[in-house]
Parts: sequence; C-alpha cells; structure tokens
Amino acid sequence: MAGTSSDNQTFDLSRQRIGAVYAKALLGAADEAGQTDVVLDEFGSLIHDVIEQREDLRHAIAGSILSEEERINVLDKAFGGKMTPVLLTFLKVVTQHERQDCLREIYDAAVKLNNERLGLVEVTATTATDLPQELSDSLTASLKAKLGREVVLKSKVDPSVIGGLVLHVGDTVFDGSVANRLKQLRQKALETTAQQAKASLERFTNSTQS
Amino acid sequence: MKFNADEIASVIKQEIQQFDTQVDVREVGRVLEVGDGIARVYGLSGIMAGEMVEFPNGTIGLAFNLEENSVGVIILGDYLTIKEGDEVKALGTLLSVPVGDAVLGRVVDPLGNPLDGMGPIQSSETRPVEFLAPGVSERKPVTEPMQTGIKAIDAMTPVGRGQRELIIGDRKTGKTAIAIDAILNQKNTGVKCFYVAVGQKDSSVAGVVEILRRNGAMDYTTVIVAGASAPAPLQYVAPYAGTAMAEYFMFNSQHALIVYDDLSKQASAYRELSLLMRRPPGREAYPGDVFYCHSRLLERSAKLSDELGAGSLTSLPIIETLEGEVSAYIPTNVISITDGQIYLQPDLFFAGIRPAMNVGISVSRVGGNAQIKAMKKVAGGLRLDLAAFRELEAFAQLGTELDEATQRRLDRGYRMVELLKQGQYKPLDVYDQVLSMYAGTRGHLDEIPTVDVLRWEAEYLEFVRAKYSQIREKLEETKDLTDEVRDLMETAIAEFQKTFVPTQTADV
Repeated sequence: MAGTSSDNQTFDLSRQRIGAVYAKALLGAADEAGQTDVVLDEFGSLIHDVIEQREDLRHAIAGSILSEEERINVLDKAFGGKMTPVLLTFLKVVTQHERQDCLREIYDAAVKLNNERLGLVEVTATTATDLPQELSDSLTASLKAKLGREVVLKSKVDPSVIGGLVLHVGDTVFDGSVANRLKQLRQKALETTAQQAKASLERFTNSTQS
Repeated sequence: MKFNADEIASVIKQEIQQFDTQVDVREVGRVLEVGDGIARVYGLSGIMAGEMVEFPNGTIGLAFNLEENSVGVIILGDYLTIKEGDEVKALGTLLSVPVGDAVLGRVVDPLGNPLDGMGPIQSSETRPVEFLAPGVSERKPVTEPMQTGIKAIDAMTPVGRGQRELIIGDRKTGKTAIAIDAILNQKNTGVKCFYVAVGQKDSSVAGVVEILRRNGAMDYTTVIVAGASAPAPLQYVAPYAGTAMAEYFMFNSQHALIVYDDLSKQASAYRELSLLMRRPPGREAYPGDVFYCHSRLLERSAKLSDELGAGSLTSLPIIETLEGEVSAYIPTNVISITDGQIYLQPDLFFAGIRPAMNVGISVSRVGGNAQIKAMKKVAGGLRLDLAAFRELEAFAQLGTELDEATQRRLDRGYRMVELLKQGQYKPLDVYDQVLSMYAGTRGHLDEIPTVDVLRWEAEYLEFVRAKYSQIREKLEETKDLTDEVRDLMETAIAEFQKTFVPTQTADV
C-alpha cells in the first residue's frame, strides 16, 4: 500500500520542482525493477525513522560536512545489503548531484505521483483526539463512496478543533469541527444582535433609563 | 443610555436555538512568503484571477498572479501580522464595495470601510470593483454641459457630462484646486461627486474634506482615501473602488463626477506591485499593462444611452508632471486616453494668472457640444484669440513700434487674461460667466484699467443682479443669447459704465 506524504512544515518552490524531477526518475527506475511499493516504503522509513529522528545521520547524509566520496561510503556502509539496490543507487545519484537537502521533497513528490498513477486521493483527517481504527476505517469507506476514488487516509491530532472532524482533500477543506461551528455561531449572533439593535434600540435599553 | 443585558441575552439565546450549520467547505492555501503588501501562496489550485482571499487576521487579499505552483496575492490591508504557513481561504467572490446613497457624505477607504468615525455604512447594495466599461451601443454622445464654475474652463475647454478631462501640470500649480472648485460647483445640480485621493498626504486630504464640508459640498460627495501611508495594493485599487461607487449613480439614471487625485501615484503603486510580483519591467520600469490599467479605468466614465437611463459619469483625472515633461510615459498615456486636457503651467501660476491654464495646449475634444448656446456664442473663438495674443505678446516684448490695430488686440488680450482670473473656491454660475464674458469679448472692458477688471466684473454682476435680474431669467429660460438678451446686456453695461469709478493710480 502506498504511504502518505510527510507533514509539510515549509515550502520551497524551487526545491519542490527539483523533487518532482527526481521523483519521476526514481519511480521510473523502481517500476523497471518492479519494486515500486518496496522502494517507496523503504524511502518513507528512511525519511521518517532515520533522517527525522537521528540528528547525526541527517548531517552525515544531508549535511555538507563530509565530502562526496565519504558520504557515498557512509551510505554503502549504513544501508548496503539492507536496502533495495534501486533506492541505494538512487541515494548515491542524489548525493553525487548534491541534492541531499531535497530528499524530503523528492519523497513527497514520489508519493504524490504514485498516488496519482494509482488513482488514489490523499485525505487528511484532523480530529481533537486519536481516531480509533474502526472509525477511520468507516470514514475511509464512506469517503471512497463519496469521492468515487480510492482514499489514503492520513490522520492528524489537533486539540484546537475541540471536536468534530476537518477533512483536507487537496486544497479543499471540509470543516465540520466544533471550533468552526462556534466561530460561525459567534459571527451569526453578533450580526443578528446588531441587526435587532438597529431595528429597535429601545428594546435593549432599560425602560427606566430611556 | 443603559443597555438591558437580558434582552441581548434573549436574542443570542434565540440565535443559538436556531443555529444550524452545514459543513463549511473552503478552498485553502498556505502562505509561502509575505512582505511589502504581497504574499505568495501555495495551494488555492482552483482560484480565479482577481478572486478575493482571506488571511487568518481577517485581511482581504486579491489573487493577482496565477503561476504554475503558487499564487501571487496582493494584500489589501495590514500585512504585518501575516506569517509564513498561515492558512489562506479563497472566498469565491470578486472584490466589491458598498454603494448607494449611504456612501455619500462619507470618507472611506478603498474597501468601503468608514474612516470618518461616523459609524458603519449601512448599505444593502454592493458593486464589484472591477467592472467592464459600457460598450459602444450602450453610450451616446456627450452633449450636456458639466459646469466646473471656472470661467477659463467653461469658456474655452468645456467639460460635458460623461467626458474625461485630464488636469495635468507640475506640482503646486493648482490641479487639485480646479477639481475641488468643480465639485463645489455641483451643489444643487444633483451631480454626485467622488474624490479619490491616491498617495496623497493625509493632511492634504483632511484639508480637502474640511473645505468640502465648510462649503456644504460633503452632502453629495464621497471621499475615497488611500493615503501615502497605505500599502501599494490599496493605492492601486482605490480608483477602481471609487469608480464602482460612482457607477452606481450612472446606472441609476443619475449623474456623477469623479476626481482621481492623482493617477501618477496610482501608476507608481502599480509599478511597485508588479515589480514585487516579478512581472517584467518596461519603459520607466512600469509594467507593460500600465496603459490598460488606466484605459480600463477611464473607459468606465461614460454617457449612457436613453435605454439605459441616460446617466453619466464624468471623470477628472489628475496627472502630476515633472518639470513640465508631458512626454513622459504616464502623461502621454493618459493624454491619449482622455477627451482633452487642462494644462497648468508654473510660470503662469507665479505670474498671478490663476487658474494657471495654458490655453494654447489645453483642449476639450468634446468642444462646443458641452456648452450652453449663450456661452458658445459669447466665448467661441476666445481660445484661439488668446493663444494668438500670447504669441503677439512675446513679439511685442521685443520693443518694436506697434500699429494701432495690434495695440488694440494686445489691450483686449490683457483684459481677457485678467477677466479669466478667478479666486479659489469661488465657482461662478454659468449665467454670470456669460454676462462677464460678453462684456470682455465685445470690448466693453477695453477702456477699463487692467487692475480694475476683476473689480469691474464683481460690481457689474452685483449691478445686474440688483437692477437687471430679467437678463438672468431670460438666459436661464432660453440658455441662448437672443437679440433681446443682447440688447438688455448692452443697456446694462452702458448704464453701469457711467457709475463705475476707476481706481485712482498715483501717477507721481
């Protein structure tokens, strides 16, 4: 199964553009080897479990302290034998071209591209507390029925939504959160009160005073 | 006044009971970078060009540049509290401003928010800021006069309702003064006025508002302000917002006058935006579409056909030149768009000829159609005569002997120039203008010393008002210079001449 993209913290358009090019190449190579899913899985775990967790490794792989040769040696020693050769070779190519800082963008672009090819839609569900498995399964099923496409559900926890559910499908947001409803209610109440006050001010003033 | 909390609570309670929401669906993007009044946004893939977006702090923006994987947004308001990564919401509508009678008498910003502290603008109607100008079949020729109340303009470069007349000149030559006089003269004519201040000092705008208020012109005027401290996007949209408010009256069979003070600053603001958006610079670093920026704005001033209610929108754009350079980019652009220009010159201004209009190169392409018949008869040919006089005057300064005919033409010219001088904020009724122009062009002032011309005029108008009020009545009735009116004027002048005492100049 295809993974979900990482949580985007920052955007850099030029790096994204580079990432898209490398991602296309990676997918092409992985397809030829017939290992697309494995490669993407391994790449995902490299990003999420290695680079994001280990500061020193990040410097070794993505930093510029070591020379190109040393870095390729490090890659060989660290991942040789444990990784699909396609991905390892790809990492070496990326290193040779000094694009290690774009690894995250490459991964995101590859996942997106793969999802697109498979006709998958990535949906982010934001909830106030952890989404139980059965709920997320039923959500996936109903989204699939609504959107008419396979759905990859990515869940996110954000206490500020208070309750309810916020769904991100591409650039469109379906906001059914309690926070948003409260906001709308506040807006509505303000408007109506202002309108009523405009209509008859006497109603709101103490009859003894007016 | 004391408020009753229970009542307010009951309204809110009722609202809560009835509250029912649908799931809120919106299109969003994230801010990549922000600064200098613009933001670059990632996402918003379905946005339209010119669509409104909202930032988390409530500020409104406009999608300005749609690029391959980002959207350039101009921020209409405070951009200092917007951060990278903020969620930007597409609103799905185009920018619009409140219109109608509620905006009259108000000072507003380009989004229609009040700046005068007189409470919210309660208008149910809005109009889009960008609106396509009326087409060919929806217009009709300009024939009604739009009196500015300034003798020199109404006599020589008349402005018609629906015309665009450019006011151009260096700084401190009285450009704004002409526009303000024109607004003051619209009192009791039903013409609604709009003064758009772009990139002006807030102190000068406050001064203008004060003058309008003191002269009772604020009742029918709206002032739209994007001052020098407003961000460039606001300065850029201000003229369009003002036009939207004025158009409302045009499309409702009324007449409106709009003053853009000034369009050179708007062009600078647009240049700033375009450069920040990395649009390629052209001549004088203005973007390639700066002509379109002004042409689509001024094209919206029109005289509508009878089927559409025959409303009109007259515009008086102002352009500031540097050292009299009319062949710079923006001045030539706007000159070519408008139906004529009033050119103000500093040397005339400092010679005491105010309004400092250069009659040689000031024109009105609508011409005599926009004058009442009487004025046409009285002042026809005056512009050319004066231009000829200017040439003759330069020649006479060489000190050559002049024959009598030339001397007479010079004398007439000196007196006409004197007669066309006019004080600030003293617009003159068109019938009064006819009276004094008649005296001047028919040579009745030739014997009056130059210094006495304006005093003669003032006293003569007073005299006619007191003793020959029938002349004015006839003029108002026919708007033409009939033989009867002419005879009456001749007798009035002859009678007045006997009583006029020239100033005793001390010849020592």
